[in-house]
Amino acid sequence: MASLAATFGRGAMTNHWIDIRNADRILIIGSNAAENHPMSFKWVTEAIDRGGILINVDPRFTRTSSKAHLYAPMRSGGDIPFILGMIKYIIDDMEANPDNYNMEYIREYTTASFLINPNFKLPEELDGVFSGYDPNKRKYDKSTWQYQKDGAGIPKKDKSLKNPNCVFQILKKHVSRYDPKTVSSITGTPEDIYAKVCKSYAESGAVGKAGTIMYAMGTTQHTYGTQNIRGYAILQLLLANMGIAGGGINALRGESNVQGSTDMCLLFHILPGYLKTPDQKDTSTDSYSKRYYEGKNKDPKSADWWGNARKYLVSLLKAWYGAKATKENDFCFGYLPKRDVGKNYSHISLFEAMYDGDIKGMFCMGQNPAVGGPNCGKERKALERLDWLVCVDIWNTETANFWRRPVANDTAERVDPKKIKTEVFLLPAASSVEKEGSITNSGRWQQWRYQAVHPVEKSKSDLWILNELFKAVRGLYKQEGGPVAGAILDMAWDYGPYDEPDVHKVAKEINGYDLKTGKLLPSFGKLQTDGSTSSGNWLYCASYTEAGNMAARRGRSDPTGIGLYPEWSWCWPVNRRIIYNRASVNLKGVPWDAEHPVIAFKGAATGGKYTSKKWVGDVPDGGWYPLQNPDGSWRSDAKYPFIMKPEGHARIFAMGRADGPLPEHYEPLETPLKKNPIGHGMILNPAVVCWDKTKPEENPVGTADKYPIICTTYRVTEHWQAGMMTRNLPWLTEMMPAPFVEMSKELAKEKGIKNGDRVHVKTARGLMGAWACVTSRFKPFKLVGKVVHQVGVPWHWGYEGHSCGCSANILTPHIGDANTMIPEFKAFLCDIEKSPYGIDRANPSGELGHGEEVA
Amino acid sequence: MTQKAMLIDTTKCMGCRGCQVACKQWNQLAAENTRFTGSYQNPPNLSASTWTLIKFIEPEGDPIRWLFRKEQCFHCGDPACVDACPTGALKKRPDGIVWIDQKICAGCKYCVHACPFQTPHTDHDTGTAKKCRMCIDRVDNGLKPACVTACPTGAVLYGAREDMLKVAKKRKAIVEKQTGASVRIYGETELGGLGVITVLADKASVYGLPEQPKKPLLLPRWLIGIVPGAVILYGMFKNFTGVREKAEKEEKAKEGQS
Amino acid sequence: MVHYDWGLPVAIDLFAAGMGAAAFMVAVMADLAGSKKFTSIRLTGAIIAPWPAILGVLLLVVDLGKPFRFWEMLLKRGEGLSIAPPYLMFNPGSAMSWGTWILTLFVIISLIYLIVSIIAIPFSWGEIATKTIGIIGLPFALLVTTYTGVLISATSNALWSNYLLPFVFVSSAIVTGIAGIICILAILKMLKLLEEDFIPGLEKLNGVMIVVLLASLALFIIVGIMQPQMLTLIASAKLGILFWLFSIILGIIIPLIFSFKKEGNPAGTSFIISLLVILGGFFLRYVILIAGQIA
Repeated sequence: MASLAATFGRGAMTNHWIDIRNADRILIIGSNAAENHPMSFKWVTEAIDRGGILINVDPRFTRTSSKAHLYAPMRSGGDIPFILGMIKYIIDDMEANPDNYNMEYIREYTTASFLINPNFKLPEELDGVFSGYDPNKRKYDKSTWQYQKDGAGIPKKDKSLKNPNCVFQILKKHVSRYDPKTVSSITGTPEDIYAKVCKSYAESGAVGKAGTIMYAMGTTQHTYGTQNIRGYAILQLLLANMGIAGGGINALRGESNVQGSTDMCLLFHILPGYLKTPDQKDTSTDSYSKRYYEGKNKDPKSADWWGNARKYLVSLLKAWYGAKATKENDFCFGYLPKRDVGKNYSHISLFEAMYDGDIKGMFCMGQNPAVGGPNCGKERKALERLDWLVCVDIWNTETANFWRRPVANDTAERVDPKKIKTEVFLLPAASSVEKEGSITNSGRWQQWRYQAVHPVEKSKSDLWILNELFKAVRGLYKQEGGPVAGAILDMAWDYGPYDEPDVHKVAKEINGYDLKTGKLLPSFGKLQTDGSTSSGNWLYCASYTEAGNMAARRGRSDPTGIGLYPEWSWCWPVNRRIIYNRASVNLKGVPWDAEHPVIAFKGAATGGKYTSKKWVGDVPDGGWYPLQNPDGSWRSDAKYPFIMKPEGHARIFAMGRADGPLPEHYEPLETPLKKNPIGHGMILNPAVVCWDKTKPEENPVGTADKYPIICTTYRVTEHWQAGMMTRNLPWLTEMMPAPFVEMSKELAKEKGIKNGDRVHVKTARGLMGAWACVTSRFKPFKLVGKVVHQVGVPWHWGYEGHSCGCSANILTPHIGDANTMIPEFKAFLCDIEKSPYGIDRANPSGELGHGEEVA
Repeated sequence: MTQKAMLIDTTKCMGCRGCQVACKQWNQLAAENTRFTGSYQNPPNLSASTWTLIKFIEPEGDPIRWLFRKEQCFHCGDPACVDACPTGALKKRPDGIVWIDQKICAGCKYCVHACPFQTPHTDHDTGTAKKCRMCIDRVDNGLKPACVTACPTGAVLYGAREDMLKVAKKRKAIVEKQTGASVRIYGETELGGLGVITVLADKASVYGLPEQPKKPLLLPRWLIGIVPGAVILYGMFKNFTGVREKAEKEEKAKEGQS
Repeated sequence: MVHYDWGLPVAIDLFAAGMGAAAFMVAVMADLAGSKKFTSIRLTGAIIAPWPAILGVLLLVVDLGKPFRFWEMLLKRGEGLSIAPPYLMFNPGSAMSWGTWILTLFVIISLIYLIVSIIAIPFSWGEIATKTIGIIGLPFALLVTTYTGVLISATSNALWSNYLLPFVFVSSAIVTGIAGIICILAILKMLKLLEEDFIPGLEKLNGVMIVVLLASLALFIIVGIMQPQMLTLIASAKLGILFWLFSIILGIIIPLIFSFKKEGNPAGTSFIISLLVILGGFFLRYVILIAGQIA
């Protein structure tokens, strides 16, 4: 997501589920879509039925692979070479067969032609790091990662793409090292299969052809996860696959409402609508807006939409503080919590701080870190150091019961609750069908859902719980006061007179009002900086208007015929179903793909010039005139298609990332290789935070001599995340009753393990007992001339509920991506051996319902 | 009444098992207590409380394949189970659905042994035999069977048998063109034309199905018992006659002597 | 514990019904061939015949998942609880339905035969009456012995569906039927209640029948040798031992050796040998039944 925003301007799936059916090529990499997003396969299957080709890249032959025309095995950790090699193939092929590619798109819509500071250096020149690296701080000074600008402050371009400082040439030089042989030796993908993948996918680069990339956690959960997606972005831009029907980069969200919760500021670094959270340097709305958003663009043809951020911030503050937010008090900007400068507040950081005793209490809503957190053995111990813990969940989770957990995996012995001081509260929450509200799916559709049944027993909706909590806290502030009491006391809080808050009031507040008329706003174009409008999330402004609740719409018409269904629910931004769709037409506004036009310009023209404005199809991503008139003359009132980027172009070269403007191969924290096989001295991503160095306690790192096997974690269709919602359902547990470890027949033979045996998977952090699944779907990899095995484990299980089993996250390390801090769940080292017990010691009878018996 | 049929397209099935759960949910079938034994396939077989399940098949060889086949009652055109049933509990409807009337079944288990696909199973709680009944209650109220509704990819369809055959043939053409595999439409003619037609991308035996399913014949088996039996009886008669005659002769001889 | 859909009760039925019917056939054949000469054989056969068949029927009913619904096999249901014409339930495609009727009728006839055999002794019409009833019962008896084989053979079970199985069961039934009569006669002989000594003759007759059984078994194995369950039957540890030790060695080979002794056997030996034959016949049914249900 961070990467998509860095490249295109918005961090979301660019297209939507139904649109997958329009693809000619589907590349599923870093995702087992059939397993974890079965509904996506409705459309993948339809695309195949329409002649589409499915390519799947995965360490293991999965349910997705079973339906693929081309399956390429790739060891966990080979993502970037795999993609950079494809980019190299395409650039080489582009020079030989330019007619097979959409050169106009690359030249005009991407930053390929932009010139970069001549002092910029690539990793091949600086032994593995880009220019500006400070090894002590493990951080980059990005001053050389900038465009050359002309006198007016507009970036310089070379549309011939020949200038050695242009992004295209820099990219070409950068990927030149990733030839098929090298790629094969790093990824373990056989060269012949790799060649087929490159050729097949590159065919989607032709004008009128579409290729889509579907990815998920297999891509992101690496120390270089953001750069993996940057690789996809560059690949898709070179193939002109962004903005078109059947194209895009489709981040498959792992939970139905992850997109929605991210939009609403689930993450520490963003406010609703992806506004940056202020830090201590931000003292006013003015300095905040100038620091992050204003004056970034001097090119009149670039819309630079983020330049409007001040309107969104002020409207947000008006939504939160209502009448108390006035121009005079800077709309209560001072009430917003400010981050410490440069401090990270993501999952791993929080648990490290908790382990150190810096955090005293935790609210854990709908999350189960005792199973789902990385190095969860450590995270469970961190919970012991809390004074209080509140769990809000529909089940009695492992996290809520960490005080009676097994002392280690694969043992029946439990910790002593008497020695744990943490006070634990469990609030029973209503499930999704027991309350009304909306979810926002991967495709950015906000869909309204009605209450189907009343909550079980005394369980309550999240909204009720938060409402009561707020009222209680406000009551305490009223009585006792406290620092910045106004932040709470001045808050506008009116969700109706009833016990259950009015969810429609919440939805309307999110949409926002014209405060002069009291009417709901029709779209974020109306938001103002003067405090005359409010909006709880500018991206959702237009979701609940005077015309009604847009998310509740269920219209089934499909006027374009490409499956946009514009009247079914509502989608941000402003019901635009395919974002960046201005790139789906050429400079004159004519769709590249006549068969699947997303939008088309139908304005009147006289004398070779457009005289009126009219777009048909999807909501255009920027409704200005096309860049050129029918006669080929440039229009001055037009805007570039990537309106969310200051320069209006999609970034092949992304200067905003912490670890480099282009992806470069680094090994995972734990790697079977002794040095970086691409041939420089930097083996680990140089910009990641190394918790094993800064906080060595309980953060051991395994080495290849002790742990020679690559291990990865994944999910199965039958279970859901940390498992509470599924491990308690007998119809699901009968299908997947216990954790297992998948391994190749070759490895099993080497270790004397038979299918169905009980085995132990060990890493530097712990041990996991599991049942062996010996299969030809895993094959050993040949990496730099050496045979390396890989195994995989599902991570759903824990010690509570109907189906119990060892948690796989006991094995995983505490290290995250350099940009997002997403943990590296997908590649680490282990060893494997036959269990000396032959049984599941925590559950010797193998009977389900073990957890209940212990309870 | 038009013949109805289900179409199972293994080339579209991705083994998500939504159908397996939907079946249990609609028919309120109990979950089984299973263990992981080395395969995703679970429960390992059909039973009285598992009326449909996905078979996970990993054939040896290169390239790797992972095949999924939805197993359930085939609703045979010429069902061996209906023939075997001594109480008339097993019935075939004009639309092709073969179902077990739970009010009549006496639990003799003969259908369990007669079925060429080992589909019906005894429910030890109710004492009766059970199997897929094509969601007769849904179908009769204008709905599709639960598994069909649950299938995300359209690998399981239900409709007029002719239409299903058309879809199957169209898929055969597409798959053969895309992959070069030889596709078999299993059930087009087998056992009087099955009510569940399966699109297979390889030989039936690869998918764990009999290549040529057969209904057991009754008459030859009767003859193979009766004919030798009659011969034996005749032999026995001759034997006793011989013994009697011999005894009579001996008696006569005895009488003659005395 | 593995559960078999058809276990001990069915094995006992297959064995007992066949033995009873075979005893009936021996009685009738002896009667037809020798009239009063073989009264003791006839009476013994008549006394034996109904009971194993009744036991078999009862066990079959008990083995039903719904024993109180046994009548569903005899009477046809209409709507609700009413009985629809033609009132009687009969499914000609079902060996089970055939068996139900054949067994029922055989039990009735063999009971009448037993009663008539005893009551009719003093009367002049007695001989005609017993012979007539015997002849009427004969086809049913033959069908009962065959049915036990057809029932499990007319299935999709890889081991059972072997076409030779009815032959094996018919010959085995006859062997056990004769052995049953020998058994009773030997007891009577030991109790010195019997003047004539038919045992050597019957033993020789059974010797021949055992040879037929051996031949049918050999054919059965040859025809089915490609079936994995056949290997379970003849080569697996547990069932293989039951099969070879009880059915073949004790139930066939040893009796065969004793059958053709010129001087005949002492009553005690005959008694034990005939028991071995009966036991062998039972185990034969049992192992085939179980082996067919092991995957």
